[in-house]
Amino acid sequence: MTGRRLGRVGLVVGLVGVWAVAVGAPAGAHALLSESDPAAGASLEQAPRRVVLTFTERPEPGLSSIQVLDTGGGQVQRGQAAPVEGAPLQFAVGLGDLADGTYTVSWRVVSKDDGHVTAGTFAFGIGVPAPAATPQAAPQGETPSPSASATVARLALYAGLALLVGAAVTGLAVFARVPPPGARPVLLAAAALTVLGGAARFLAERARIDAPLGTLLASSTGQGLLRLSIGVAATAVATWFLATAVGRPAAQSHPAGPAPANPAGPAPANPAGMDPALVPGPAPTAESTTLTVGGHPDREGSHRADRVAPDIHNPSGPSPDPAASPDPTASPDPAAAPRVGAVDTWRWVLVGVAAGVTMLLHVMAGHAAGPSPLRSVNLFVQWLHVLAVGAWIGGLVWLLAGLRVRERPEQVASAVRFSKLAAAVLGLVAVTGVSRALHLAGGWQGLLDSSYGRFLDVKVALFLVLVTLGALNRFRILPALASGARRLAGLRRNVRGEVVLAACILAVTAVLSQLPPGKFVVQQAAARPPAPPSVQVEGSDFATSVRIALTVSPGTPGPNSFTAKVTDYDSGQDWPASRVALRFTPRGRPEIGASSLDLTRAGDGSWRGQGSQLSIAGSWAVVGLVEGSGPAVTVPMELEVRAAPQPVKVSEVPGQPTLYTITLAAGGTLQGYLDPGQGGPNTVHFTFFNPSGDEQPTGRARATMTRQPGAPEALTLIRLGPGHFAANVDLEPGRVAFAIETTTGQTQRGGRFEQLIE
Amino acid sequence: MTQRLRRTRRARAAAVLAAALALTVAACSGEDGGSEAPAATTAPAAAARPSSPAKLTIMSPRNGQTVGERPELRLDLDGGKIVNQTTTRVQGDEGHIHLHVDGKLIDMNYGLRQRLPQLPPGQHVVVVEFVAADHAPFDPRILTQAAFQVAE
Repeated sequence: MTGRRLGRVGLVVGLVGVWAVAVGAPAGAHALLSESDPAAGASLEQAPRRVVLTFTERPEPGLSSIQVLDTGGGQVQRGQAAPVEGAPLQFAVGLGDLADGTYTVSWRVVSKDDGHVTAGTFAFGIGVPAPAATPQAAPQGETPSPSASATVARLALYAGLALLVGAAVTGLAVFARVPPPGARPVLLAAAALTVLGGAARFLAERARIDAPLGTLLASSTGQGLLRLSIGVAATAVATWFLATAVGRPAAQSHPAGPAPANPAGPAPANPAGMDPALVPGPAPTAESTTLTVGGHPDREGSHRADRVAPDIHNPSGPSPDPAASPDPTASPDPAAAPRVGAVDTWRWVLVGVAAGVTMLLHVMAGHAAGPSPLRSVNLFVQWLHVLAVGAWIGGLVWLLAGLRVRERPEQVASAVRFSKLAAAVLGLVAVTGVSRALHLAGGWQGLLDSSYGRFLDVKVALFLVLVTLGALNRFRILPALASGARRLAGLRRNVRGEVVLAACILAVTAVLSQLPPGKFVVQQAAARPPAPPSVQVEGSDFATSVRIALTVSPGTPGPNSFTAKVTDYDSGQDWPASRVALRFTPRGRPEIGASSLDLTRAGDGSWRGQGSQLSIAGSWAVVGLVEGSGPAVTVPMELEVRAAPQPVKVSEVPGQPTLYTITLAAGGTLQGYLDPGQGGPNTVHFTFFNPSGDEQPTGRARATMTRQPGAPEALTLIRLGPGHFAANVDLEPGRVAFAIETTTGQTQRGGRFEQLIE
Repeated sequence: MTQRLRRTRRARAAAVLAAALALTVAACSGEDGGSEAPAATTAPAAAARPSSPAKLTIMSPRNGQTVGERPELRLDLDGGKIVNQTTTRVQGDEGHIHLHVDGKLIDMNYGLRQRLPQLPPGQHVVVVEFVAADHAPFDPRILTQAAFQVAE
């Protein structure tokens, strides 16, 4: 092996080594909030010791933060937020000794998996109801909209890498190592696009994360961006090696000896009189020795001088560069003459590998890297997808360049070879694309209801148009060209249209890759109970024509806000009251006493207050007491309090009972499970936990089992601990629901879960 | 010469492609970082339960043994310890004992010795399980059983 060859091998090994370092570290989608402890809108009896947020992806320590603010805006958290040991999706911050009041949790998280930023706020109360405006479920947070700079950066990166992958694939499989005309500037432009896109993406991500450079580079997100930058730089170097060889005669880059002989043998007969370029035969080989203007061997690798004049000085040929003239040192034997303009295989391969590995680095910092038991599979499928898209879309540009050659047979031959290649690549694009869409879109709902899904719809529509144009090329235009019944202009026009569509697809993808996957949006929607509607009731005292319109929000057990509009029944004017109070009595629950709430006059003339008097679901008698200049008036009203929807987390592990973790509005959780969960004797367990995860002692408990359809049956509970209850039940196949409720002082806790018994 | 050159080129291309494939495998292996699937709400999701190194043995009553109407249950727990607190911060070697007699849960134990309730004469089965500190089972479950006779 010569020193020069050793140098080339060393170069390849060196670049591969750099990529190995770059690739050999883990990198995932948006970290959305799936639950919080305390729950958003919770009203707690005791101050929590910490705030724990659970996300759909791992938060990046150092770049993520949780702030807890009191009503004055002062921060009350202690220390830095950090991941919870053993629970990488949880992020927690300690709290000091908090007084009763309302607190706001403000969080901003950078996903450790893909670097995307999400942020959100919610409130909870200690000893007081949280603001009525606070939603009952943890807000998932919002992702900043894709920025124009980040989108342009990604578009440039995608376009550059696609051009380079397309160059490698078409250079080897379509043009038989001979670059089409004007290849060098296009290659250099692709390298520049890649470098600029990579650099702009780094800067855009840094601006979005908004962290000092040192902090960013110390994080796994920053290291992922750094690895991508190394890959981009290596790709630029590899492209330079290819671009500098363009236009150089093949023999110069093969100093080892004369070009090899043509092994392909004679061309087969042309049975149909069609263009010989379309005659089936062995694929072109790197060693083909046909001397043509385009430098491309025909499909048989045979000499095509009978069809195309071997005018190597033709300025319109593929190698206008004077350097493209035949190597004067080459063998005079025509059979052993090198092809004009052919470039070494290793240079093409190096560019393809460089761009491919850089695509992998990009994929490792995207949605495919999100937490999943199939993460490696997702990464591999996504990588195959972008490689295939690159080969197809980039290849289209190179095909367009190849169509600039004036020799019609060679153009048709190139188009046919590309068309066959594109069909195979297209299949890979479709299979991997559908696979990734099924994983990320979140079903039909995700496709329709999320920004991600809508952009994906647009992308698919553009893809289908592109496929249609490709099919038109393959089945209509190319056969017509082969028979001489059509001019090349139509093919060029069609391919130009494909390139424009492909650019649009890349632009849509650049936006798509910055949006939270539809499946997370669907999951969040499922996790979020519907916004509790206000309950409105009215009552009148006809003796005095006092009328009260009472609005209770959210109208579920626990903290509620009350707004009473006290008016004259006849005139509709505000009644001149000096005091308004409400008295609450539950229907059919004599063990729960009556309670009262004084309302205060608001600026709009209504009377308002907040309280947890409506502590259980069911019917309540509410009496409005109105005092004014005359005697006090009582206005009776009836109110129906419905059970608040509760987020339930279901955990299924083979060989284990199914665990149900129910988030309680009063704070903490209820864990329930049915053992073994099959027909026959079973034990149902209920355990109450406080927000810190310790057992929550409770008062007396009542539990029911409802075989559906059917009426609730009371269960005989065994108290196994201060907050742990169990009951033995006999079950038959069918759906069964279990519910438990406890009362501790004025606090009501309870939950319900259902299971299908097989 | 030509053949050798061709073989050299192909070998070079194959080496680069093999290196790329190896890189891919390296990049995609060992990154799964455990089961970090986001918790699903209102939809089933795999959430790993802790495993335990503990071994639980019923010392008395033994299988086939004939005992009195209120036999004493004696257990041996190796590799685990019984803790009093109930918490979601579970560990593999800490937990409680759940006690079933004839298919019904009758008690939760914080010790290794306990007098069983009065049992009628005949065949009975006692099942004991070492559960995690949150009262849910370990994975795999740590349970054992014994069938015994209560004398007339």
